[in-house]
Parts: sequence; structure tokens; C-alpha cells
Amino acid sequence: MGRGTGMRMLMNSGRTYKQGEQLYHKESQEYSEQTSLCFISPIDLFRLDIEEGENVEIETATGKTVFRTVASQDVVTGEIFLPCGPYANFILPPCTHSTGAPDFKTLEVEVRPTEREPVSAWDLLEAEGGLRYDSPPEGCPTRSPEGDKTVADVLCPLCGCVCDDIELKIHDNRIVACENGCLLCSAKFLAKNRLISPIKKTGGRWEKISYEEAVNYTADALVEAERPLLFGWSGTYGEAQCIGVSIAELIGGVIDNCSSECHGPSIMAIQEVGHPGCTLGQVKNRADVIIYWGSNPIASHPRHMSRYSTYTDGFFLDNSFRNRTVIVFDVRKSDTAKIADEFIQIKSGGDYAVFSALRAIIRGKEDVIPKIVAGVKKEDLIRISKIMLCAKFGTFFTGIGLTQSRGKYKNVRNAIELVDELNRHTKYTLTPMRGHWNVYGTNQTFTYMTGYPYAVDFAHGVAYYNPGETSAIDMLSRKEVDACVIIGSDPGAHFPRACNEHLATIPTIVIDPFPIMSTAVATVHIPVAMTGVDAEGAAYRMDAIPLWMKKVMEPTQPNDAELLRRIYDAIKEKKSVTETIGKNACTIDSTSFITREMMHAAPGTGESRYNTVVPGRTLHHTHRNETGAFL
Amino acid sequence: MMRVSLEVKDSKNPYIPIEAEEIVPKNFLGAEMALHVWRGNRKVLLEEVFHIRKEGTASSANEIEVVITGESGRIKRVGEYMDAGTIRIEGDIGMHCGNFMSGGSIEVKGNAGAWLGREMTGGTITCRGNAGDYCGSGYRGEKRGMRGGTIVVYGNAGDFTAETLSGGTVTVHGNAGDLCGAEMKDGTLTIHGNASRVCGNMTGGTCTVFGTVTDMMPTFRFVGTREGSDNGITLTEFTGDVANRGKGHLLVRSFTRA
Repeated sequence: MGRGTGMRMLMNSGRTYKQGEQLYHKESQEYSEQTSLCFISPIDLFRLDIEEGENVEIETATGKTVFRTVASQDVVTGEIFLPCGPYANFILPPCTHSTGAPDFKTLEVEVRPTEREPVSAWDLLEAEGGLRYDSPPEGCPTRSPEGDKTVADVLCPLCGCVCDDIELKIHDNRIVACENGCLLCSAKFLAKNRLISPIKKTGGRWEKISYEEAVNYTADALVEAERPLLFGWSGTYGEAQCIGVSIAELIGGVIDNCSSECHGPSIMAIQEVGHPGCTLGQVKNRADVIIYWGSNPIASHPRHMSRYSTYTDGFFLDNSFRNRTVIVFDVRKSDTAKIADEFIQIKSGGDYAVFSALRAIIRGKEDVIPKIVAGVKKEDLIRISKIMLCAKFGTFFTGIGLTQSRGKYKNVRNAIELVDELNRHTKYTLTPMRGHWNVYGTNQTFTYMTGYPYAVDFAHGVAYYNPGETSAIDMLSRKEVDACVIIGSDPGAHFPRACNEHLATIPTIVIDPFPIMSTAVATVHIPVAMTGVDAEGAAYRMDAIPLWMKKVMEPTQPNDAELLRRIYDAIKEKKSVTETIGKNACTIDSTSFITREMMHAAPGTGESRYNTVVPGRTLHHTHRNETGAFL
Repeated sequence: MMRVSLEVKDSKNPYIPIEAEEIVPKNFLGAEMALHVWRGNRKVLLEEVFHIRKEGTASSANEIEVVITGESGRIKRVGEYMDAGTIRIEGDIGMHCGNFMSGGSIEVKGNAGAWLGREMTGGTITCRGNAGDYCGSGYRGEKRGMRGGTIVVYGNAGDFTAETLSGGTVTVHGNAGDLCGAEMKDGTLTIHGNASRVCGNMTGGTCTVFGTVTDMMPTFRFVGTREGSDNGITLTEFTGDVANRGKGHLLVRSFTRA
């Protein structure tokens, strides 16, 4: 094959350690460099007739852009691995197969050598219709009235582990050192590029505006919209999420959270066959077989193995490093796979078949199984099934390798059914490796308030849920959204290009402490205090344990709940809703509420909202009494 | 016979979805009553979205034909809970057409969106173009999908076609997508073209694929070969899904393994 000739390959995208480290430094050159890498087998480099470090252009029907190659023995020939971020998503089609999650994995692409250089992440967002915001940091929004200090037992607001042993040193109103945390944790706590005041895109440039103007702009956009979307929420705390749900009800909007593109499919599977879960403490203290499937915690949850599984001793398990068996199933030999006792390499997209084969083997039907299943030898499957059956307590940790590859939620369903099968013989559990620190919290609060965990549509005034129809990526790619609020998430970096292109054409309001990729496609960005630093609230760890994220300094900016409450009040005023929150609030806590007027005023009609039963829709408020207690 | 013509009006924002579950023949019977649709979060009168013209009279819903013309690809839930009469759609139709339908017939001359005939129990849906994902399937978390009636798709069908099929017949004359017939419990699924990973977790019913199944599930037990009933094509017969103690029948012309 001569130089310049392209190759059809399979693309998988996912977290790398370096990409995760730059999550709160997205304006930096380092972020662009780390997310524009293409990990590729040396054999395929040879086939493309290029050296490591040379560039390739990767193309799909959606678009093409340039990546720098990194030779990797971990990736099988015929496949490439891209760090998740704006580059991989620039070429990602928005099709979710009506599941809510696009094909971040097992996507066919064309790869060819090129002399062109990768552009910057801001360049990509501008190509999607956005406008970069690369102004230098303007100061420090936090203050420490007690002066310099050290704060122990701080909770980390980064990944689903929510590590609770972080120690922060504060000097001159800033965090200057972070102990005990992983690199991802430190990078977030030490990030210094906070946005100081709200900004608005005006005439091709960014202008500072007041909080009052920003709140009014947001309320106007949401009141006027016929199909408003409130997206994100995983990067904020439960009390703010509850106000978000109340806003969605008030405006007849759709509220969705990040799980629709990551572990939403896990929840869809759980809705079908249940969740055999447990706390991470159970795993730590009991599990002698641990299976990471489609997950690479060394990159995504760096302390997961040391706090909850492989390396930590348990009450019923001494010398756990030697006494636990760690099995990794993945399409590439990830860093986690390299330290596992067993690594089973599956052909991309073959997880569903392997789960089925293991279930059949455990049922004693191994005679039906062909010699090879999705690249895995039958004898390996039989051997692994015996290890699984010998466990006293086994645990599956399932990652987005399952939820974002073809089949999506059916992969997780099959995993749960394998757990069911194993539970006929011994004890097994399954825990999805939730990504954002409070993404599980969004599912908890949304379910508590609406009956559904994400993708909740209040267009008819009652809650309706259907990923693929009411999930953010599907709605944006169909261009049906006419106003959007983004909070606690960054679709600019993590949504398919088509979604960002649409966001750039409608009123889009970003609420975030930092300038992020979504800022580029927004019309207004409102900075807020950062949870875990100068704001506090409730979060749920990946095993659904509620934790209190405490603040370590005082804010000079509103926190998410305060800002959302102001937006809520402004919307009420514009819609001429007169009753006050305090008088009629169905109080869950001090900042979350559902008011009586929401139960009577349909958006745009003034009619009673709950006088008809809509098939497939939940009348959740009928389950509440006047004070908000569930009946 | 009564013929109700609904012509979609031009819209300021044609991307806003219209939910039109009140478009079922019986609602046009008898005295005039105000029908509504939802345009996004706004509940509006039917005439705001459609030019409406009625011709003839009818004494029952069976004598009513509703004809939808114009840009109707964004209109959802047409024919939901329909039990009698006819709906003819000259172009495309949006999601959930014929949801929970129990009688009557729907003809879509263009393409249909996802969830065509979701959880239907009777009646007939004919789609001349392509059908989206989840054709003849169930709702999220449901154990059972379509339970009766007939869906015929002359084009291609999407992923998860006939998921949790529990009765009735789904026929796809073109290709079908991935994981068709997943969790299938009963009924008949026939695909005249190709499909991939059909009938995972199947427990009952019959699925026939006259084309090629790619990435055939490894958990189906080979039974033998036999000729297709109406076209003489030799089919390989399996039972399964053995991972699920399944007793379904899967017949395929050819297949590849994952």
C-alpha cells in the first residue's frame, strides 16, 4: 500500500489519563494536543507508510480532521483509539440508533496520511459555528476569610469515585496544593482559569454583561421557546438539579443529563432486568473476583482500584492484591488490562455475543458455542467461566465500552443477565463505572422528582421519558431544540458535531465556573461558584451513596442553586405566575421545590395540566401530598 | 364514507415536533369537537397545523378515511390507540405512528419514524418506504412489545425491529438493522433482506431471514435445513436462545459469525 492511500478502520474513542488531566484546561494547547492523538498499531502505521508522530486525516460521512499518530501495541490492527473530545466528536455522526448514545465506539472511519497539521480545539468549534473565548484569566473569584489554611477530608468533584480524603492547601485565596488526589483531581482543584463575570456574544465578539442581564436573557429565551432543553447537571449538586427540574416543568421543556450519552444505556438495561448492585464498601471488603468490562479505571477513575478493589485490603480478604482475581474484558490492552490476572480481548462490538456465550456455558450448554466468539477462544471462555463460578463474591464493573458500542443497553442487559446466572451458583453484583462525580445524583434527583432518570420531557406538562426521542443528542441533531441551557457539562467537547452546529444557531446559555468548549457555541456564559471549592451540596457516588460536597472557601459568585432560583423567579414573573415558592413549596430541602402553580398552569395555555392521563406518561405529582411528602 | 383531508401547513420552525395523538378516525365522527395537537410545548388547535377538509358522512369510525398530505415527517403519534377506520399518509410520518393500535389500518407511503406500531394489539400497518428503529417493539423497560396485528415494511427497517415481539406479524421486505427480534417471545418476524445479530435472548416465536445474518449469535442450536415455505430458498434452522432457555425458532439463509 503506497503512501497517501487510505485504510478503512474501526474507531473507538474514550478517556486517556492525559485527556482527563486537561478537562479543566480546555483552552490550553495541551488539551488540543492530547485530544488530537490517534493511537494506532505499529503494523497499521507500516501499512499507511508513515512513522509514529506523523499525521493522519480521519474521515467519516460527517467530516474529517487531522490527528497525530501514536504507535500503540495495545490497539489491534485494523482499529484506532482516539481520546474523547472535540476532535473525535468532530467526525462522529449523531445517529444514536434511537438509544440516546451515539457510536463513540466501533465506528467505521477512513484513515489516510496527510501533511496537514491538527488545528486547535477552538478552531474546530469555530468550524462548527462557534466563537472562541481565549481571553486570559482575570483573577481569583474565591476568598478565604480565615487566611492561609489546610483543609483535610475534602471530597473530590471529578469522577464517580468521589474520593473523600483529599487535602487542600490554601494560600492567598487560592488552592495551591492538593494531596492524596489523583492527577485528574489535582488538575481540577488547581485550575485557575475561572470566568469572573457573565459574557455575551455580540456582533462576533464577547462582551461582559451583568448577572441581572444574563438571568433576564436566559428567562426570556426559555419562556419564548417551544422546545427548550436543559442539559448537563452531572457537574452540579442535587439541590441545583432539583431547581432545574422545576424550571423544566415551568417552561414545558426537556431536561436531560449526561447519562444519556454515557451510562444512560445502563439504566435502560436496569429498567428491563433490574440492578444487582451493592456499595463499593461491599466490594472492598468481600470481592475475591473483580471483572472490569469495557472499562479502564486507570485512566477514567484512577483511584478506583486502590480504594475499592484490586489493591485495597478488605475485612474478609487479607492481602487482597494476591487473593483477588482481576479479569479485564476489553477491545484493547488498556493499562488496567496490563495489570489484570486475566485479560480477554474481544473483537470490537462483540461484547453482547461473549456475554451470551458465557451465560450458555454456565447453563451447561457449552456444546452449542462455536470455537471462537467475537475473537475469544471457546476454551478461554470456559476457563473464565470456571474462575467466575469459583468466586465467593464477584463483582462486575461495567464501563462505557459497553454502553457506547453497538447494541448499547443490550450489552449491559446481557451483563446483568450473566450476573443473574452466576447468582444461581454464588454471589455476584454489577456496578456501572459512572463518570462525572454527580452523574448518578442526576439520575437520583430526576427520578425522585419526575419518576424518570434522564431525558425527561415536560412538553405536555407531565413527565415523559424515551431516550432516542427525548434525549439531548437526538433532539439537537433533529434541530428541534430552540433554546438550550447547559450546566455542569460540556457538550461542545463531547457531543457530535451536528449537535454543536445546531447549538450555535439558537439561544444557548452555558452555566459553568470555567470557559469550556461549549462557551464557543453559546450566546451567553454565566460563571458560578465551583462545587467542592466555593459551593457545597449533595452528590451521589457511583454506588448511589449520598455524600455532602463541602466548600473550602467562600464565593464571590452565585452558586448554581442561587442562579437557577433567580432564573426560575424571572421566568415566573414573565409568565405572570403569582404564587410564591415559600408559600406553596413542596419542599425537599432548602433549595429544591415544586410549587402549586406548576400543578395548574400549562405552559402557554393557562389550562389545568393534569386533567388528562397521557399514555406512557407519569403523573408524578399525584403521588405527593400538599407538603410534598410522597403518599 | 367520510374522507378527512389533513394538509400540513407551512410552519415558521418546521423542526418543532408535532404530537398528534388525537388524529384517529373516531375523533372525526359525529358532532364537531375541537381537536388539539401539541407543537412543542404549545397545545394548539388542529387547524393551526393542518388545512382540514371533510367530504361525505360516516356512521361509524370504520367508514372514515383520514388522509394526511404535506411535510408530515415531524408529526408524531398519529393513529395512537386507533381501533377502527383508515389513515393514509401520502408522505413520511414521525415517531410512534400506530402506538397501541387495536384495529383499522394505516398506510404510510413514505418513510416512518421510530416506534412504528409500538405495542399494537391489532389492525394493519403498511409502510411503503423505510421504517425507523424499534418497529413493532415495546416501550422502555417493557417485557412485551407488539402483541397482535400486522406490520409490513416494503423498504428497510431499523435497529431493534420487533424487540420483545409477543404476538402478531412483522414483515420487512428490505434489510433490517441490528438486534432485530431481541427478547422476542412470540409472533412472527420475517426479513426478506439481511440483518445482524438477530433474536438475542429470544424465548419464543419464529424469525425467518431470507438474506444473510451477520454476526450470528453463538447461542443458537443447529437443528437442520429446510426449504422456505413460499420461495424454495433453503434455510438453516436453529432453536434458542439457549443462553435464555429459549425455545424460539430462527431460520436463516446464510450467516457469518462474530
